Amino acid sequence: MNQMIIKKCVGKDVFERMNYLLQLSNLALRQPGKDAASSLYSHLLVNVSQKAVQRMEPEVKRSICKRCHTLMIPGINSQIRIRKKRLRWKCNKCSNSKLFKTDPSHKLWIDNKEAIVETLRY
Amino acid sequence: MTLTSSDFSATSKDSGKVYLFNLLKENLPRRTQSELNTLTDSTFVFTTNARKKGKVVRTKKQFLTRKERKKLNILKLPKQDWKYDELCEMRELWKQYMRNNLNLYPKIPTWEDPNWTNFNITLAKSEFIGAELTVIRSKNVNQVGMRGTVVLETKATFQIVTPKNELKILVKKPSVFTFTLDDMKFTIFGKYAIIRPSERSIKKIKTLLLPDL
Amino acid sequence: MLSPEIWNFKAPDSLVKVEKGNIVNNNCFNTIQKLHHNHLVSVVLPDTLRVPQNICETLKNDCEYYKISNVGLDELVNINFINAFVRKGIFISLSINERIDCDDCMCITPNGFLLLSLTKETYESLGLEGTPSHYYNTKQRYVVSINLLSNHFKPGKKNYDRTKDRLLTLKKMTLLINWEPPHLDICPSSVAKYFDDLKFDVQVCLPDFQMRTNYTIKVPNFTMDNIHEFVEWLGMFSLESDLGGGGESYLSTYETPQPYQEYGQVKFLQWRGFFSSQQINKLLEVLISHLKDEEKPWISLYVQGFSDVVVGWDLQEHHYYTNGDNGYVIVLNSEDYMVYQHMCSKKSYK
Repeated sequence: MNQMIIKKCVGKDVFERMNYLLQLSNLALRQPGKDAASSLYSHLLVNVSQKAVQRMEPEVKRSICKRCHTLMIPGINSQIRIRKKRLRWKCNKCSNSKLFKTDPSHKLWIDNKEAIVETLRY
Repeated sequence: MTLTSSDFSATSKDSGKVYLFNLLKENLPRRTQSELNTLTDSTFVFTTNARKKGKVVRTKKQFLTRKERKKLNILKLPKQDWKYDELCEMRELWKQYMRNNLNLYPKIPTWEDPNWTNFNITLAKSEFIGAELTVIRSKNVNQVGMRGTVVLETKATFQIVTPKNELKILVKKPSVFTFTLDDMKFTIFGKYAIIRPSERSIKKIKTLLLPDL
Repeated sequence: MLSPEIWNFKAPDSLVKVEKGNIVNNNCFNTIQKLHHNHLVSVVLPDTLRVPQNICETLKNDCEYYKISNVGLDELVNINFINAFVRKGIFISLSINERIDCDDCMCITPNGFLLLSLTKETYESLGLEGTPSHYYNTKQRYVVSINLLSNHFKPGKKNYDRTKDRLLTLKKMTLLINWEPPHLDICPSSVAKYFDDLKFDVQVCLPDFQMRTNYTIKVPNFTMDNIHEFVEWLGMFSLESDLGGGGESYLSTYETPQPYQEYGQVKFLQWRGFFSSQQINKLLEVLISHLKDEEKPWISLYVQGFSDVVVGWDLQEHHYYTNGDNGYVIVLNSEDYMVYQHMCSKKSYK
């Protein structure tokens, strides 16, 4: 019999909720005509993270448009272009653009090995 | 501290020195990086790589107002074109999420357990989109007996899709809802859940509540 | 601090309704039609040596009622049941062992309405539309009425389906059923057979009949003037109380009002059961013919309804506090009749 001691993680339930909402938002986009639902779920995701002050991984955060909080999937509801050595994500809903640099040696802090203190698996 | 060339080799056992080496490599200007191996001087200037602060330009606030969101049609859910069967996947996903969230094994908590309050708090903080709610008691007599999958939660309502593919809006305040998970039945008194879903994760709910409408 | 006055309460208002008239007009039957669920019937026959058989038999034959236990109310909404029994003939029904002020009660009236009197929690769980009860200012009790004879009440219609679904959630009750078939060929026990086929526990109940003779009784004369004292005497006689009077001055005793006559034998008949207003009608007709044939001075009839029924007089809501107005007295002599009713106030108490 597995005797798993559930380690204490501060804000675990909030993380679970945010994760679930992201999956829901993805699921809703796959069905036709439900983009309002999808954007509502990702909007709720952003709100929850703001209220509970839990930060998201940059990958997740960058896939949500900063203005209208819809989940951006390239090809379906967003455009990605590279112009003038810059990567540009454009949201189809609110025509909001987000620019990124294309420097190959630029590393995110979270990608450092030193950034990870503890990994909890559930 | 002087760093000799032998210290810069990768097989150095001193991990502190390796860390320092990596740090220097990232933060120094490019020209100095290539000469790192041959350097003997240990004073480094870090500021040349820093960008000069330009004029602080106030960027326009990017958030959308309610009117603009209404224009984009992302404020409300559509009333037609709902298929109850397609939401089956959502329901399965919700069940998995709840099982992870509530720590239902090794034992289902009862009111005698010490972590009963924690169990209730976790339940109150959890997400209800994707659950299958049934109204068992309501002051709105016509809403009693409605059953469906939750697609949206707002401050005062639950919006559900019934098996007949209709979108119904259930008011929270005068109703009592139930849902089942595996072999447990949960009852939610809507009177105490009139909070925005984003705030429900952090707000504390009173411990002394009357189970009446 | 002054203590509050807890002894100086006025009695609740009540009203005595007396109706007088001539038998020829047949108006005496009007009051009978208004009370649908009758429990107790008693008849006082003065100066009678032998009670004719037909009076005793009227409320005995064809007056069976059935007690069915553990019936879910969705059975009463079944379209076959409605077509066979409610539409044809006269069907009345009551729930028993349920208190009108604490529990949920139901009744079916002869004009085809299924009425439920529910507590707040049951009403909110049930989900059918109803109105708050008149007798409570805080909404504690609700009355739901379902028209069984409506044209729209058919399977396939939304209203019917929803009513049937929701009635399944109500608890099961024990019912009393009385059905008068439209023709004499159809036996009233067909309703019992219907429920028996559905595997319910059906019990046949016959009305309980008692007869009592009192000898040498002082009986006051029945005139249209001293009605109250006459009715009081009737009540005292029916309850077998001491009509002697006089004697000690310390205790209060009852004295028969003057002018009075002494009769050798006075008969008292009592039936207890579940009677419809039609059956009481028949009894009154028999009594009138008996009065005319045998030339008796007067005959009296007292009818009392149930205490836990949802509707009382004239399909108005009945309540625990209006339990006193559930009956009426009819006194007849060869030409005139008098109907005596004691009505309670319909005030809602907070």
